[in-house]
Amino acid sequence: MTATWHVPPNMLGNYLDDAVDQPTASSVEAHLIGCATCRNALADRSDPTVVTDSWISIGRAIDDEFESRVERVASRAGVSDRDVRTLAPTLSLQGAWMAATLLALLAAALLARHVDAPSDGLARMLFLTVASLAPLIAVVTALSAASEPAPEIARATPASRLRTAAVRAGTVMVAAIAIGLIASAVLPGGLIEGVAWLLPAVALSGVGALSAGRVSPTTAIGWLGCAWVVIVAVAAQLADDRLAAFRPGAQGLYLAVAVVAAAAIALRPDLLNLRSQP
Amino acid sequence: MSATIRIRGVSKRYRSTCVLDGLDLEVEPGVTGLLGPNGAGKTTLLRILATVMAPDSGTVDLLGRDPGKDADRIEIRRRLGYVPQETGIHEDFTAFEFVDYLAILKELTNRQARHDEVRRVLDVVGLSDVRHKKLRRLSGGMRRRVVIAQALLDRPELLVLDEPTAGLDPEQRLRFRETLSSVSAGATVVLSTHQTTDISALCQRVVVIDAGEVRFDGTPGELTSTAAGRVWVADERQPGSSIAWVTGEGRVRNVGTAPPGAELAEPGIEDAYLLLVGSTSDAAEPAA
Repeated sequence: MTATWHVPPNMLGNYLDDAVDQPTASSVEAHLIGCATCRNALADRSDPTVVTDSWISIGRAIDDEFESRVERVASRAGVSDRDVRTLAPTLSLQGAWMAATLLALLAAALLARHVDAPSDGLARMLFLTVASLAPLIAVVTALSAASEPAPEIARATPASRLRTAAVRAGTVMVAAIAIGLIASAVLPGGLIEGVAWLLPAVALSGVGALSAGRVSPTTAIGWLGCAWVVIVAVAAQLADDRLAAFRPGAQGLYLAVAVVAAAAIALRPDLLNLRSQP
Repeated sequence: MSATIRIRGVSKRYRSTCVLDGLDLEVEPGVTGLLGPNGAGKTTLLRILATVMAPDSGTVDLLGRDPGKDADRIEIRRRLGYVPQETGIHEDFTAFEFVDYLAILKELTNRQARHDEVRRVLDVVGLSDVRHKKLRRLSGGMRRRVVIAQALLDRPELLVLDEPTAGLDPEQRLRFRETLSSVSAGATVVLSTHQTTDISALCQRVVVIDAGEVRFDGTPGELTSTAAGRVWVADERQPGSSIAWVTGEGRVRNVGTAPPGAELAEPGIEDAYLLLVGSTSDAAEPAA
């Protein structure tokens, strides 16, 4: 039937003007699906601008459907879609990375909770040492090429790489500290004692961020990690106290290092990514 | 027509290796192809044109600006599209997310206008239907087209393309030619390729680089004509031949200094290229 019957011109015109009732519109649309002649007739009578605009609207509607849950949540939280897209590929913000960090710190905290004798402190020293390193590793990784979706192309864009670096480093720092605080809650004793890793972590991350512009991430993390372990071990040996590196006197030193690193980054932000110049 | 790229005495060294040696080049709007053996300095030159690398010495002027100055470099980048030779791309992104990310870096801040532009460039390279697929699920040729799409964002005035057709099958290469023809009007396009057929089909001008120096600068036709009288067919490889191979018809095509009375053949651009860069094995490779 559809091979010989076609939508009458006046009905097609009314359909285009949205001047037909719903059953007639449905009937016309059902016919259009199987009739190229009527589709062509409709195309000839349609305003090309309206058709183009319709396709653009359809494209927008489809793409909005594909917006990820993370993007929607972040958008509702007031984070710009630009920052969400910038943060998405950051290696140290991936679910697997954060889950692994949380598991490692929880394991160290549980060890300290269940193994340490009251005056021993070996497992607590282990937890505090590892917890200090987690933000360093996260920050340096976030600043590395591994967190950049297309490093060579990104370098040829006008965007401020410092802004990108700052958004990524700042966010992973907050995330790593939040994970460390969750693990610290498992430790016995007061919260203050449990978060004695915080200032060393900030100081190490600051120095790590500055190093990331000069050496590879592996080198920066390796050398700083080793130096930190040596500092903790030597302090423990010298003071005959396994937690000597985390006592109030040492905390003042970490605060000073963190302040100097923050000042250096604030005054000379280009130090963050010298390797990607020009 | 005035030059949009002016390079004077540009040199670049990697440790003890001199990659570009006092190179001079002027490029006008249109499509210019770079030919040269591996290690000739093409990628280094293109990276300098893409502002991601600074030369050791010499002067570079791109779109009337000096990429050595911060403000000028940013302005050049606003008007630049770049397809590097190798792109380590984040494969967890979909094609749409990847191009959208680079659109953000290209300062397209209005979300709706940016998304419309992302859809446009993905449509230009024929990837609209797969734009929400993860890059890891796309073929190598499709991923290459995604990278080409991002270079077309915001209709750049300067397009720097380092082997854009690498990894594309013959049909995709033809589609790339069509795409480039449609986007290159008024723009300056510099591309490197190992496909001499791309040079013939696409470029108004061809520059042959060897050992960091310009060896030829002219039209593809002029390059081809340099091989006139130096290509002949015979039943076997003959003395005076720099390179020879058996053709599909079973005869031997010789390229070099033809002997008297030789049965001359119509030269192609790759014959001229081979004669120009010599007969080293490295030199022969790109013209394959």
